Amino acid sequence: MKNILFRLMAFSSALILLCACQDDDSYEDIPVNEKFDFKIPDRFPEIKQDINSNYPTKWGVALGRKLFYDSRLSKDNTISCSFCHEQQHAFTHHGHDLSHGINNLEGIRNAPSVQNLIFQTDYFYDGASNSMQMLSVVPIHNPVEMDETLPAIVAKLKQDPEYVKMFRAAFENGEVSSSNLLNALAQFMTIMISADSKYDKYVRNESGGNFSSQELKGLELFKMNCASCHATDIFTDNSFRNNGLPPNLNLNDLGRETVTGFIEDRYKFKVPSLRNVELTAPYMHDGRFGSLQSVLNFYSDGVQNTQNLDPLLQQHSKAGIPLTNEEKEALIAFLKTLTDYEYIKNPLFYYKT
Amino acid sequence: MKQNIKAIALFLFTTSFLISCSSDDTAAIDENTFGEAQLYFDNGVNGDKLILGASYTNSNNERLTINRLNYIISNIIFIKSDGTEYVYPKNKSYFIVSEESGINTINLTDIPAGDYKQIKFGLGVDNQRYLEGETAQQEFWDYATSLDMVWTWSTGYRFINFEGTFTSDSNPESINFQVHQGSNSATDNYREIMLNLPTTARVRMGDKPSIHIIADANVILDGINKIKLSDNINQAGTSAAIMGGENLVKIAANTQAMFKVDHVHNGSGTEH
Amino acid sequence: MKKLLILFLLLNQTVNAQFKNLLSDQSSLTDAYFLDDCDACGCSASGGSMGFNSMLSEKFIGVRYMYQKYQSRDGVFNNSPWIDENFNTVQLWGRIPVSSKMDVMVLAPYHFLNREKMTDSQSLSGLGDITLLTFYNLHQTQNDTATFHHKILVGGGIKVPTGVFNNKNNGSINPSFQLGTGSWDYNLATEYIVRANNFGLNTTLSYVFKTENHKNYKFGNQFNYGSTLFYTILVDQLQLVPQIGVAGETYQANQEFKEDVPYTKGDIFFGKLGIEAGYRKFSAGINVMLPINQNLTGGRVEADYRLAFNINYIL
Repeated sequence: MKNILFRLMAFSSALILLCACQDDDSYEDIPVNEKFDFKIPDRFPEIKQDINSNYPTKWGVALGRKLFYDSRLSKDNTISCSFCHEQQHAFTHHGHDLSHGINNLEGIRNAPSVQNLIFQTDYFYDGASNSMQMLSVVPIHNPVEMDETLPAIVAKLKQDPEYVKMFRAAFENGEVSSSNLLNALAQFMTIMISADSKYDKYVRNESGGNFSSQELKGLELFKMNCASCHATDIFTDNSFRNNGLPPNLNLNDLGRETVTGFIEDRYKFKVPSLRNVELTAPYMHDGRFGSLQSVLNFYSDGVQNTQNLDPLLQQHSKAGIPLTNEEKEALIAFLKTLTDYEYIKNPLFYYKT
Repeated sequence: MKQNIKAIALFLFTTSFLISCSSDDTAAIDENTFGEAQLYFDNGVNGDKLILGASYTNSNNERLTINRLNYIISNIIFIKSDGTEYVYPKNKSYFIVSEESGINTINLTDIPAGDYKQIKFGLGVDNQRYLEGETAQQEFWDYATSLDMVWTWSTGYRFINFEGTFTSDSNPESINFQVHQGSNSATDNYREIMLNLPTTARVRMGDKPSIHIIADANVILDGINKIKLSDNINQAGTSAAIMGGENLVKIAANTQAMFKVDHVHNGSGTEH
Repeated sequence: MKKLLILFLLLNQTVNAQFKNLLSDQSSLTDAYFLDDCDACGCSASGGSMGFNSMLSEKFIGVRYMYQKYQSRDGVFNNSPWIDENFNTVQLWGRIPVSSKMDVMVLAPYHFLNREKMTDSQSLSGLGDITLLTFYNLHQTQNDTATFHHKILVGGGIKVPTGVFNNKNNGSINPSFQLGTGSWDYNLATEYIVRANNFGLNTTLSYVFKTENHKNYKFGNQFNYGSTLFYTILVDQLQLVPQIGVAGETYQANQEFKEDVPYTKGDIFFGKLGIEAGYRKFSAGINVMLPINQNLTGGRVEADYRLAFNINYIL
């Protein structure tokens, strides 16, 4: 009798030990990561960033997306990237000429769209960054946007087991670190490619790409008057130009000169991509024009010969681009064909918070 | 006779020591061993020691009170007399010298044993490195942020953070100045600097030569190019800022002459 | 008797000059500004440039106390602060004739060094380097009635590294703050004395060859020169010998691992003043040296003054 009892005790204690060992969290499986499959559109210009050093992976992109929508990236945990970059408006701040960030502080610029970034060389209207991996630092540090630092964000995220798990899955060293954070955001932004608008279907001869005669006329006018700056299928030539906007004395925004310090760069701003322009009102670096109509009215009648005005706007007797009303309407019709409805609805770029 | 013999014997005894002396032969260098080295940056202004809070007048007739001098030293290379180079591993070759934080010493390890006659280093962060965005660089970014060595409104490093107050003929009242040297997406202001060592730095297993470098903060604005703070006062007249444009290109040329090796301590335990 | 006294006086002057050479070893050692090793003032301190004054006898044993004051720059800048360095040496010395024309001299110093750095003060004490010298009387005027009496001596010697030197006493302050040089050094000298009536003029030249020590450090070879004018006063059994002169030293650069070390060349020129008194079997003297011109270690070390007292017993 004693013998059996003893054996039973031994067996059960062994069983308990075995179970206890298996219950250790630190040996939990790290999900397998793999390269993210995304397509580079054929007609786009060459990729300008080095994406091979931070090639998008399944978990890297998932992590980047979660971060993009996470307001913990701001000092008081209220402002996320998605706050000013809203998907349904092609990642711009709907209706806002200037964005407001933390503590309702207002900035001096209009939120640019986040799309097709890997085909661009410089970011922000003044070229404050030329690196995909580093650009997130700018709004994070800006005291009127997120007013936060990378180490502080990292400290917050380390408290969240979900993030700890995702960082481990996404990066080889598995750490919740500033570099991994920036890289995850960069991976997410890398895959944000917009190339399925009506215009794209038209040039690819796909169904849904039938242009009306007005749109065709608009395309023709665009090629003649706009494509010298809004060039290629990403509709920007990545350059900084002064398009003759009269300076807003309240904002006193010197544009590119702020970054380079060269007086020849005063009042020059980055040529933005016109993709999805129908959705990204208001327009210009300070959001001064509420409609595409007013933009074109500016180009025909409002261009001022300010310091460093671009020579391409000085080809006629009057500065700017002469356009009749009919021409403007055709151009607007064309510009609307640049709207990519799949881009603004793609679940890949959305995260429910 | 006896006395003469005694004299001669004594003379011989005395002079025999002349022959007996010999010096150690320098041991052959075992290239498979490694040692350490140290770079000590002794900050000065125009030949005087830099003392934060003290004033001096430069050749532009501006009187500066320096309150901050921080700079990034990177990409260190040790060069032998035959020209062969040892490139310190890039991922650990970024350092900051900060006078206000008392950080003046760079300690380097695992250097192949050898006799080095020159060193080369970069002032700032090279563009390639910055664009590579490697993991190790981001940790340096955090470190640089803590020492005010990053731009605030654009991404990139400040290679030199040189701040204080000044007076000049244009402003008899003291106002702030800020000189932030660095690259931006338009200009690459990173420069490499080569220095000769007055005596050989002998790196051996167990030996750690200390290379004592003098840095002259004055040449930043008052070198081959003269840059006047009074030409760079803001519209409100409240401060002078030099953070971009042609001035940074001029500063990059000036700072080629900012460093000089004063001496090399050889042996172990020669740290300051 | 008078002749003998004068002779001793001159001989004393000779040895005086020799010691001056050896003491100048000390100042050459201070030139080693940045070095690991002692180039030290205090090291050899055979210390005679202050004046040797056993004027009464060429055979003696005595004790001499020497004080040297230096200032060195604590830093590499034009406005780096000056640090005071005090070198005190107590020296046993003796001069023994081995033949009618030859003498042997021994000097054994014991040092007490101290200095005030910016952060703390440092002191060192201990035995220094021992020196042995031989002198040979090459020529001497034999005719006692001649107006001018000439004497020429040649000699040589060695300094033995019996003093300890410590690697830790280095850094940007004058690392000649050491008890010994760690090296064997060799000395050749020549001396010319001419006298007339109660006046005498002693001129000495010497050259010191220095060797590399076990830390691969070699001090620069050194050339010394000097000339002293003296006058003898006799009052019963008391003798007084006031003296005045000049002395100078030049140093080649020091070398570490056979490379010239920057800022270690130098030179210095002194004026000197002293007086000695002798009575029966004892003598005493005092001597002071003041620099007139100097350029030591590129201006980073300055010699202030040197002072010596001695008391001898005549053998």
